[in-house]
Amino acid sequence: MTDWSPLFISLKTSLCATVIAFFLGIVAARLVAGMNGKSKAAVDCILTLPLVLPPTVVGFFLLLIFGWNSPVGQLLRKVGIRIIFSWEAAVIAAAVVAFPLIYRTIRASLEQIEPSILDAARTLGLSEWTIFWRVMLPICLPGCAAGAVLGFARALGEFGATLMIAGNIPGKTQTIPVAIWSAAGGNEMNIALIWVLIIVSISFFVLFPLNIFGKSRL
Amino acid sequence: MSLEADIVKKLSDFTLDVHFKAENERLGLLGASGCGKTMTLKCIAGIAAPDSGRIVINGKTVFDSVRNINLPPQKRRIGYLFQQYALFPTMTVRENMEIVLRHFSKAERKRRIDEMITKLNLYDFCNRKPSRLSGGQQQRAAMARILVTSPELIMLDEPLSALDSFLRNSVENELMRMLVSFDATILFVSHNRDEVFRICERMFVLQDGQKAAFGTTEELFRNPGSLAAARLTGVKNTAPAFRINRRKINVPDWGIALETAGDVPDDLKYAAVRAHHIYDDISGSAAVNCFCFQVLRKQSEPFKIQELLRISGEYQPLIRFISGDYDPVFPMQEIQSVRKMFIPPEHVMLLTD
Repeated sequence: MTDWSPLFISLKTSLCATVIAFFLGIVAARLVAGMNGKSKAAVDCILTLPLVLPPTVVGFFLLLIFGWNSPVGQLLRKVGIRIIFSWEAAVIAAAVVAFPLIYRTIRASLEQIEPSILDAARTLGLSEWTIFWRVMLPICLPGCAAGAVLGFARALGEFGATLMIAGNIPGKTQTIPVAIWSAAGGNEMNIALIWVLIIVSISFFVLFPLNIFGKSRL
Repeated sequence: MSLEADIVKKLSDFTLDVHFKAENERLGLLGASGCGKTMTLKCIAGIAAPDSGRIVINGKTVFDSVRNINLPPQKRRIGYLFQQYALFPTMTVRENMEIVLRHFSKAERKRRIDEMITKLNLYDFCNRKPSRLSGGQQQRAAMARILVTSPELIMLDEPLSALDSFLRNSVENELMRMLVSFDATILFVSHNRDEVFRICERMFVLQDGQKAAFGTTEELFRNPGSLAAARLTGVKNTAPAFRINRRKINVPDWGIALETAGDVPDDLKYAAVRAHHIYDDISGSAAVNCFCFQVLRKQSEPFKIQELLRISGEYQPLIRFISGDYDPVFPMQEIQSVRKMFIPPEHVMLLTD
């Protein structure tokens, strides 16, 4: 076995996807945590859907949005960008499925902040912006870290949506999960097994510190 | 410095409806938990909005439902000390002050913080995070954080109730020292009548969102005026009462008629007697309000003895306190006995509400 590109593609894709989903997740968590009632429930539900829907459904929607004939796709084509079957498509797919985990973890830790701390900050004259970045986020640092780790692990495991919009192009869009599917389909079970072991160990060593860290916080 | 508050707000169990003014003074808000005290503070601070009303701080209208004014908390210049102190947990005490002064130059910020650290004696722990401070230290740090912003009004929400009882005395003295040196209006919220009595010059007694009494602390403890205020100021014995004449009332629940020191109002509703204002008539010389009480029960508490008294079987009992180190005449065993006791007319409280 000589081609290690799925490993590097997977790591690079997951990392980029996590960074994107992380910042979107922080913004979404802040907005939803500040909402109330039915609108909050509805928005939260929509943002969580990618977590529970079959990846093929996510892939289908992404095809609708970025496909050749969609408005977004055509607009991008005019400026010379092609999303479908590119590495960027793999990043988008991974980011979409990682987003709900990151968003929910950060939102949960934002909502656990003692409300009087925020009220005190307001009466002391701190702007909402300062309160969010200097008071709330530092308190939520463990939650943010947990969200990022979970999101990274999820992005690493993304398969269905990736295959639909990024395809299986070795050296370009072939991530480890896609490589496993490809090898198993081609009856190269040894190669598939090696990739399986690799992704299991990466995921384990990514998640393991989370539990250690989570315990020490108590 | 002054505060004028007219607040009407519908809450789940009752409607909060309070109106008061305060000058340069320490005003206590006394009430049982859940009576609307904290909501009153939140409305004044701008954390919650009244349904209608007007709030004026130092002549500046911060809320007016008619003129549609509702300044955010950031613009009200109020120092609000929360029950759990609400320090920012990720910052040291010094950083907690730095962030609220972030608009000042670095030198000015340092000058103000150093001055506050000296004034409130925070040297020992100004570089520690709140989780490593005792309750009393946290309170001092939170007060320092409030005082560096030079607020125009200070509000304290149950500042002592988060502390262990053995700490409370010294922290209260400390707090009192800070409050006296601070020249502004101070609102002190508590459910503890003793704290309010010691700390506040005037007090507003709140019952289910409504005013139960409002006046100087000493006067309200002497003459609460309403049943709710009497109970909140610690009166143990209250019962419906009827006017007999200008200086005499009938209290059927207790089975006695009492002479009073002041004129009995026409709209008298209740009579009240503090538990430590019932005395043994040892010399037999009491002229008025002297009764033979049965002692139903006698109970020893750490620093006082509590007795349960009644005239006879069909009447309601009265509670009496005797300070514990003085009970030379009647030993503990002696219950079910009948003894002569009297209630001085000046200690018979007349309640009209």
